[in-house]
Amino acid sequence: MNAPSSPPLRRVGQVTPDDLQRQLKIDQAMRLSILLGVPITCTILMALFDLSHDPLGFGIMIMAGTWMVLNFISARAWQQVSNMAELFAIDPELAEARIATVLKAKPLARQVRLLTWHRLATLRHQQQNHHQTIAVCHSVLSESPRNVEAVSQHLLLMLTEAQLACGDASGAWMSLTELSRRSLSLTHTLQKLTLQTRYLLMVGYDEIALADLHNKVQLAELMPPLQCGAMHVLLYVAASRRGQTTQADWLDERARLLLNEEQHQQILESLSIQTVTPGELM
Amino acid sequence: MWVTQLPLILLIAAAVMTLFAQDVFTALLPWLILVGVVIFAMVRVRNIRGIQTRVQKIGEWTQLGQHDRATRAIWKTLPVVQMMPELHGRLVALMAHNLDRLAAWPAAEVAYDYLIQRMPTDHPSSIQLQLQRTILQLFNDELASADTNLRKLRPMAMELKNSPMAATYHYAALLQHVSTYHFTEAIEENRDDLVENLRPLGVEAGHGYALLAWSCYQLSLRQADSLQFNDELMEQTRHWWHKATLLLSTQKLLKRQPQLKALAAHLTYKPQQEQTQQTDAPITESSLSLEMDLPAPEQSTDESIQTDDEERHA
Repeated sequence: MNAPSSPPLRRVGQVTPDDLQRQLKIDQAMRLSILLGVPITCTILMALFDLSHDPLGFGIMIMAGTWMVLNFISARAWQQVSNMAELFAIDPELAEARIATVLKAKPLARQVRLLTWHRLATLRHQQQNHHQTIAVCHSVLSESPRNVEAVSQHLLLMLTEAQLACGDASGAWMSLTELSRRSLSLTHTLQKLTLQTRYLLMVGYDEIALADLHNKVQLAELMPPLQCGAMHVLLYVAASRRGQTTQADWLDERARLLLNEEQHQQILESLSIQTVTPGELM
Repeated sequence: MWVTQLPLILLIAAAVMTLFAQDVFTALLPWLILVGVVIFAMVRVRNIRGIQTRVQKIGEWTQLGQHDRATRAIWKTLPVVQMMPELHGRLVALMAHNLDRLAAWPAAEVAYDYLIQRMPTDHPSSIQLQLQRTILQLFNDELASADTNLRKLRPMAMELKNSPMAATYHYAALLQHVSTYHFTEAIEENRDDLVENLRPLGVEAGHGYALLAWSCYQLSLRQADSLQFNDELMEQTRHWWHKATLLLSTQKLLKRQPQLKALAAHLTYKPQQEQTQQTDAPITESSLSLEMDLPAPEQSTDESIQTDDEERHA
């Protein structure tokens, strides 16, 4: 006897930048029509059939109730997507299924819809699906800054990383410039430092990558060991390409203490990606 | 849950009361109360966010090594977060870390005790904290307690190889050998795989390398009669001291383990290049800004990023 197989988990398909706009418009239209339509209809019916001595007051109560139900739907969705960091690490498929379920729900409050899309971007970034990460990040960042203030820094960092992975130097430059305009937390500053160095190496500005080396190494030491080692490898690559052998040797020796042979090799290989032709992109 | 729904409940209550209101005053009163409650909630939320931001800032100061500043701020903020268990726990953990770095080890031990008592014993975070406390016990010469703790923590800490927890255990075990003058055991157990074992600690592994250098140095002093063996041990001493100073400045090493002064004074090394020398200069707020005119991509760089590693090695 075959054991009953569990139904396949829901997945989020390919998304385009227009999808978010469409979903937000549908949400807005549905919320408005429900919030106004239900109470008005009830009030008219009450008045027509003379079911209540105060149809207007009854209408206000219905509107409050409707508002409560709409908020309840959004609150449930928000609960599902608010704390997903652990789920991303433990079971990404279940995380995707949860995001798919929330994305299907209608109507959602604008903030909840945008938060769900942010979680989708994080998931795609973790899955190293760079093209989808770029599409999702662009969609959310194109919204009014006021609506995405809380997650915009994280989105920009993910966008930059995905653009670098795809060899989009122009896009990465724009994202990094945008990040430079913002006041970043220490964690985000350190992430930006790594991405900035990767970008400079990609476009061949090794000298700028090595500028203020002492400060950069000090900041790298604040990163977790793996990232710290990776940063040392990046700086080592820049120094060795510039022919600054003393610095290169020092950075390499430190990197080899911070990373094992396999990690060291992987990072070097990840830097050997085909770089872009920035001239063409401009 | 009902607290989050309170404004809605009040809204409905106000609507119902308005329906049965006899005059203007009774009709308006519930709405005024509702507005008051909403304003109070908004002010409270803003206040909590302010405290969260402050705790985050303290965490950043701690990370940046501004321990005096962070400790002062924690001291001022602790009474404010007494009714917020999560933030309170985080602040005590930061306090413990800062006191540890300021070499106020007995006080740091008390802070770690406070946290450990409030966590399940076998939780990974609790094991990490217990290991940190054991290290402080070794610094405080509470050798018997440290030995008992290390024996108890060994199976749990070693479950995850190459984890920060296992690395902390290895460091604590090495420190125990050094504190109890078991230099031979320290060298025997760590000579081959100390780098691998301490790697998850990042640059902090430098403290462990310094301890092994110290063990080699002490043993070479003891066995000074046999010149050949002495040389071999001194070579080992130089090897591990070089690794230690590669990751951490001598000042940092001596601040944590002042007994290493004799070793630092004894060893003479080629001075490092100015650009690559480890110094104790603190990271300032301005250095975080990473201000630079990021150049846009201009020229064609079709080739892949490659190092001249192979060429140089050849």
